[in-house]
Amino acid sequence: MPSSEIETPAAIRRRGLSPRLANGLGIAGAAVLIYLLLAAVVPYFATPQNMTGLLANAAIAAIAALGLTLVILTGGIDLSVGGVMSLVGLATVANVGAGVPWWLAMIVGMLLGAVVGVANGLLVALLRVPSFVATFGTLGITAGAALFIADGRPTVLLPREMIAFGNGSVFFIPYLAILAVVVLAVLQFLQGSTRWGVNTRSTGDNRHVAALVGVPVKRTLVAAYATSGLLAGLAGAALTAQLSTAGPQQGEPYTLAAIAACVVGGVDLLGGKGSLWAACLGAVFLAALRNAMNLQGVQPFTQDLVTGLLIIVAVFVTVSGRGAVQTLLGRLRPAQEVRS
Amino acid sequence: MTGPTASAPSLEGTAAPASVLSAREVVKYAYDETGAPITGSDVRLLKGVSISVRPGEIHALIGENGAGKSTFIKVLGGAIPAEQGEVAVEQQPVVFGSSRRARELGISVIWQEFSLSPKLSVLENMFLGEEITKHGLLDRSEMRRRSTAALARLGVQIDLDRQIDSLSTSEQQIVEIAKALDRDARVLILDEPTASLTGVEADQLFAVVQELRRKKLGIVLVTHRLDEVFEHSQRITVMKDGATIGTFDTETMTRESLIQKMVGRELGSYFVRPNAVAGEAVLEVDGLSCGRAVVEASIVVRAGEIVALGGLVGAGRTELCRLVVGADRATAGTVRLRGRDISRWTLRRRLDAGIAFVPEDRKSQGVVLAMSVQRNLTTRSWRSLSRRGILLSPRREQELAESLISDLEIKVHTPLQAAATLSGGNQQRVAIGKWLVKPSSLYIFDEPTRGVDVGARRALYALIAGLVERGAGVLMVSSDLPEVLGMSDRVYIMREGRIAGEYAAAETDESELLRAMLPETHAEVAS
Amino acid sequence: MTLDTSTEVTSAPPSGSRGARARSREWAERISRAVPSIGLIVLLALLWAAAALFVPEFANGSNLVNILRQSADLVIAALGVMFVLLIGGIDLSIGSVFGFSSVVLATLVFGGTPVPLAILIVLAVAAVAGAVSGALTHFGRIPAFITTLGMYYILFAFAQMISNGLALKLPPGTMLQGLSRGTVFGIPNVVLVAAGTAVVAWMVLNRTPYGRDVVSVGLNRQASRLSGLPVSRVAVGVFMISAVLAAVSAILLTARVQSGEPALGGLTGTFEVITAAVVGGTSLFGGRGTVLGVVVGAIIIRTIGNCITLLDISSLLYQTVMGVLILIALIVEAVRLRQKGGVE
Repeated sequence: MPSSEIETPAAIRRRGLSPRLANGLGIAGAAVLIYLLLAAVVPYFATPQNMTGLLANAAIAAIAALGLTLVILTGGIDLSVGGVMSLVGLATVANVGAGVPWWLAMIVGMLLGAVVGVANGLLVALLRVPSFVATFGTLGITAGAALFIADGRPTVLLPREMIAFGNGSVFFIPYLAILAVVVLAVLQFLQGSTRWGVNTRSTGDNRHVAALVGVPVKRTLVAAYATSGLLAGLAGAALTAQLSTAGPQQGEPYTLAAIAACVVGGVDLLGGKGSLWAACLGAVFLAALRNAMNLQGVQPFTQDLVTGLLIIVAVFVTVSGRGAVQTLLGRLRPAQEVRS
Repeated sequence: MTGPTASAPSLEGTAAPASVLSAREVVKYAYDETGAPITGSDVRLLKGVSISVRPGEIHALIGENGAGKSTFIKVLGGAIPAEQGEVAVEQQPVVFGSSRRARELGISVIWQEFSLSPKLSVLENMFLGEEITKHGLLDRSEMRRRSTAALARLGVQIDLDRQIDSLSTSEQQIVEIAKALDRDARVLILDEPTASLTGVEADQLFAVVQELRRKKLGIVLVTHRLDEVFEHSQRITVMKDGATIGTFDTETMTRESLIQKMVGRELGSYFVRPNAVAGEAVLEVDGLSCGRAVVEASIVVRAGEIVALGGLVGAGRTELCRLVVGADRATAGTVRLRGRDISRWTLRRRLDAGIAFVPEDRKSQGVVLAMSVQRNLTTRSWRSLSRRGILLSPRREQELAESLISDLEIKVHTPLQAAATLSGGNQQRVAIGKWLVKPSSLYIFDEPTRGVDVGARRALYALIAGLVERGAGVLMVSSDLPEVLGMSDRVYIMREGRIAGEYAAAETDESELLRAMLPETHAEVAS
Repeated sequence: MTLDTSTEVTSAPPSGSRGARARSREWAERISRAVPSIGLIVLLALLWAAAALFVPEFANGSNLVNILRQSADLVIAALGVMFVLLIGGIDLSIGSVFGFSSVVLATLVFGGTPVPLAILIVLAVAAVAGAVSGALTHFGRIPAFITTLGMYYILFAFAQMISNGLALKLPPGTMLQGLSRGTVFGIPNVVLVAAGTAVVAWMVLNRTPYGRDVVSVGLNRQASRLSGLPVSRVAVGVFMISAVLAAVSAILLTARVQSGEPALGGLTGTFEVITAAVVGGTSLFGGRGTVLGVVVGAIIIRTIGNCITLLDISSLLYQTVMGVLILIALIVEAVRLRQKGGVE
C-alpha cells in the first residue's frame, strides 16, 4: 500500500509532545515546584504530620471536585455540591443514630446525593435550564433542607470506627486520601476505557456535533450530574467522619473549593477538556496554600479573598489563552459574538 | 417554469453503467430552521433536480450561488427531506429519514462544516457515537487498526492521537473521508472540499479522491473551481435556479461552454433604476485587509450611485462590509467616509457618522425578533426621541414607528407585535426602516433580497433606488447576478478575499462577471 | 424563476382600515403582555386570602403593613438583579454586597462621617464592585456566575476583615434610626423608599433609552451591537445597578437592626433575591422581566416567610421553600419557551 505521509509545514511545526501530555506535565511540574517552595519558606510545612492533615483536607475537596469535573467536561457547572454535602452529613448522622451501620449510612448518603444530581441532570438535559441556575436552585433546596433538619444546630453522634476512618492514617497517608485515590482510579478507568468518557467530552466540546453523530447527549448529561451528586454525597459523609459532627452549613465552602480545584487544575469551563487527576492536584494545591497560610498566621478571611481572586485569575488565564487563539481565527473568519 | 433556458432536466447517462445513486425530479420547498417546509410561499429551493452517479466516477455538480446545490446535497445526504421526487441507491428507491440512515445505506456527505469534535483526538472522532467495544470496554486496538486501515486505503498516515483542532483543514477532511470509508461508503459527496485549502493541500485531497474513484466509489464533487472540474471529473451536472440544466461528459465541454450553461438567468423587469447622477465619493476604502478573509481591498462608492459587490459565497464580501462598518477590526488599510479617515473609529461612531448597515442574516443580526416592530424601527432614534436624552416620549415614538410603517408599507396588525411574526420581506423592511429616520450618507446592504418573496422584492428595490435619489451612496452585496446587473451602476467582483475586477454594469454581462468570480487555480497562500 | 406576484404570507387589512380594528389589536397585544403580571397579582391575592383563612393573626392590619415593611429591602435588591437577568447574566455577589455595605456604612458612621456622606460612599463603593464584575464578565469573557461568585468571596472577605467578623453597633440617634422607624402619613419610610425605587426602575426600563438598550441587548446582543447600541455600557452598567441597589437594600437593613452586620445576606441572601426576581417572572434566558412582576414576586416571598413565622414552623424551612419556588418558576419558564420554540 503506497503511503505518503501528510507533512505540511504547519504539521511539522505542531509536532512534539501531545498537548494533553504537555499540559499534564506542566501542571505536575508546577505542583512539585510549589511544594518545594512552600517547604522551603514555610516552617513545619513539610513535616509528616502536617502533610497528613493537608492530604486529608485535600481529599474531601478532591472527591467533590472529581464529580464536578465530569459536569464541567460536559460544559456545565454544579453549584449544589456544598448543599448536598451539608445535607448528606446530617442524613448520615441521623442514619447512624437510627442504628444503620456507619458504612451503609455513607452509601445511603451517596445515593441521596445521586438523587439530587439526577434532578439537576434532568433539569439541564430535558428542560434545558442553564446549569448554573438549575444547580443554584437545588443548592438552595439542599442547604435549606439541611438547616431545617438540623434545626440550625450541629449534631454529634458518631461511632468510633467512623471517626477513625475520617481521621486515621497508614504510614502518614490518611484513609480519606486513599479513598480519594480509589475514586480517582475508578472514575479514570470508567472515563478512559468506556464510551462514557468520549461521550462526556464530546458533549461538552460541541454538543451539536455530538448529537449529530449519535452520542446520547441527554443521557450523558444526566450521568455527569448524577455522578457529581453521588461524589458530593461521598464527600459530605467523609467530611462528617472527619469532623465527627454534622453542621447544617459545613458543606457550604466546598462549592467554591471544588470549583477552584477544577479551575486551578486546568479544567476548561467551556467544556470538553480537562483531566481528573489534574483536578485532584488542584485540590491538593489549594489545600497546601490554605495550610501554608494557616501556618503563617494569615486570617481565614484573607484566605477566602485569595481563593476568590485565584479562581478569577485562573479562569482569566484559560479564557485569555483561548482568546488569543480566537483572535487568530478571527483573522480568517468574522468574529462571532460570544454570549456568556 | 417560464424561463426560456430552463430546459427539462436531462437524464442522459442513466442507461449504462448502472448508477449507484440517482435522484429524479426532486422538489424542495423553502424550509425554516427546524427543516419543516414552508408552504404558502412561492419560493422553491429545488424545482425538479435529477442526477445519476455511476460507480468509479467523479461527478461534478456546479452552478452559481443560489442555484440550489447545497440544498440538493442536503437532500441526497438525508439531512432534509424532499417534498417530491425520488432518490434511489443502486436502483432501489429509498427514503432517508436522517443523515445516519443515509450513511448506513452508503451515502456519506463531507460537509464544509465538519462533524468532528475539535477537542477530541482523531481516533476518538473516527468512531464517535459508534465506538467498538469488547465486554463493555473500548476496544482501542481494533479501532486503531480499522482507522489505520481506512487511512491507508486513502494512502495517508495521520497520527491518531492528535487533537482534531491541531490538524490542518485538509487533514480534517481526510479524517472525515476515512470515517466514511470505514463505514463502507459507496458514494461520497464532497461539498466544496477545496474552498479553504491551499494548492498543496488540495493536491493531497485529490490524490485521495482519485484513489477512491479507482476503488469504484461514486463521488459527487460540488465546486466552483472549473479547473478541478476539468482535471478530475468525468461528468458534470449543471444546476441553475433550483433546476438541472443537464448532465454532460467533461470531455465534450470547454470552460466557456460551461459558463454559458451556468448563466443566463431570466432578467426580471422588476428592477427599479434610480434616477440619479454620481457625485462625490462617499466611501473610499484603500488596501483594507483582515487575515485571509479580505486582502488589500480597495473600492470607492460615490453619492448617488449603487455599487454592487459580487462574488462567490466565502469570497470575503460580508467580511469587507463588516470591516467598513467597524464590526470587525482590520489589520491594515484605511476607510474614508466623505473624506474623513474613520479607520480607527468604533462601530458605534461610524454608524453615528452616517453609515447604515443592513446585515445578511436578518433573523440573528438585522432585527431583534422578540422585540416589537415599533421598538425595532425606533432603535436608532431612542436618544433623539427623548427629552434631554433621558425620558422617552412614547407618543412620539409611536408616531415615528407608524409613519415608517406606512411609508414602507410594512404589513402589521399593530406596531406592538413582535418582529418575529412578520414575513421575510416585512422583516427586511423593518431592518432597513430603522436606518431611514436620520439619513445616512452610505447604506450597506448585504444580500437584501435573500429569502424575500418576488413580490416584495420590487418594493425593496424601489426603496434602495429612493435612497440613492436622495443623494446617498449604496454598497450592495448580492449573489444574484441579474440583480447585480439590474440594480447597480458599477460592480466590484471579489475572489478569495481580493477585489478581482471592477465593471460598469451597463457594459458587462453575466458570463463576464461569473468568469471573474470563479477561481482560476488554487490560491497559493503563504502561511 | 416564476414571476407571478405572490401574496404575502401574513395578509393584513388594507392600509385604509387602520383605526378601530388596529387599536383593538393594539390593546389585545398590550393585555396579552400584561397577563403574567396580572397572574402574579392574582396569585398574591390568593395567597393572602388563603393565609387569612388558615394562618391566625395574618389578616391583621399591622401584620399586613409589616409584610410590606419586610418586603421593602427585597424589592429593591430584586429590582437590581432583574437588570442583570435581563441581559442573560446572573449576579451571585449580592449576598456579600449586603454584608460588605452594612459593615462599611457602620464603620463610617461610627467614625463620625455624616450619614448622607456615608451612604454616598457606600453606594459608590458598591458601584465600583459591580463595575469590576461587569467588566470581567464582558471584556474578560468570563461566565458571570464565576466572576460574581469570585466577587462574592472577595467582598465577604473584605467585610470580615473590616469588622473582624463582629457586628458593629451604630451610635444611637443618627438619621438612620429615623429612616428605619419613621413613617409619612402612616406609611413606613422603607416602604416609600422601595416604592420610589420601583417607580424609578420602571421609568428607567420603560421610558429611557438605556432601558430600551438593556432589553434589546438581552434579546439579541449581536443585532443590538450592529444597530449601534452601546452594548458595553449595558453589559457593565447592569452589574453596577445590581450592586448599587443591593447596597441600598443593605442600608435599609442596617438601619433596621441598627448595627453593621458582616454576616448580613450570605449565599442565602443572594438566593432570596434571585428567587424573588424569578418568581416575579424575570426570564433567566434574558430579555424578559417587569418591574411590577418583581415587586409582586418579592412580596410573595416575604408573605410566605411571614406565614412560616406566624405558623411557628421552623424558619429554617424558608430556604427550602424558596428553592422549590425557584425550580417551579424555572420549569414554568422552560416549558413556556419550549412551546414557543424559543430555547437554543
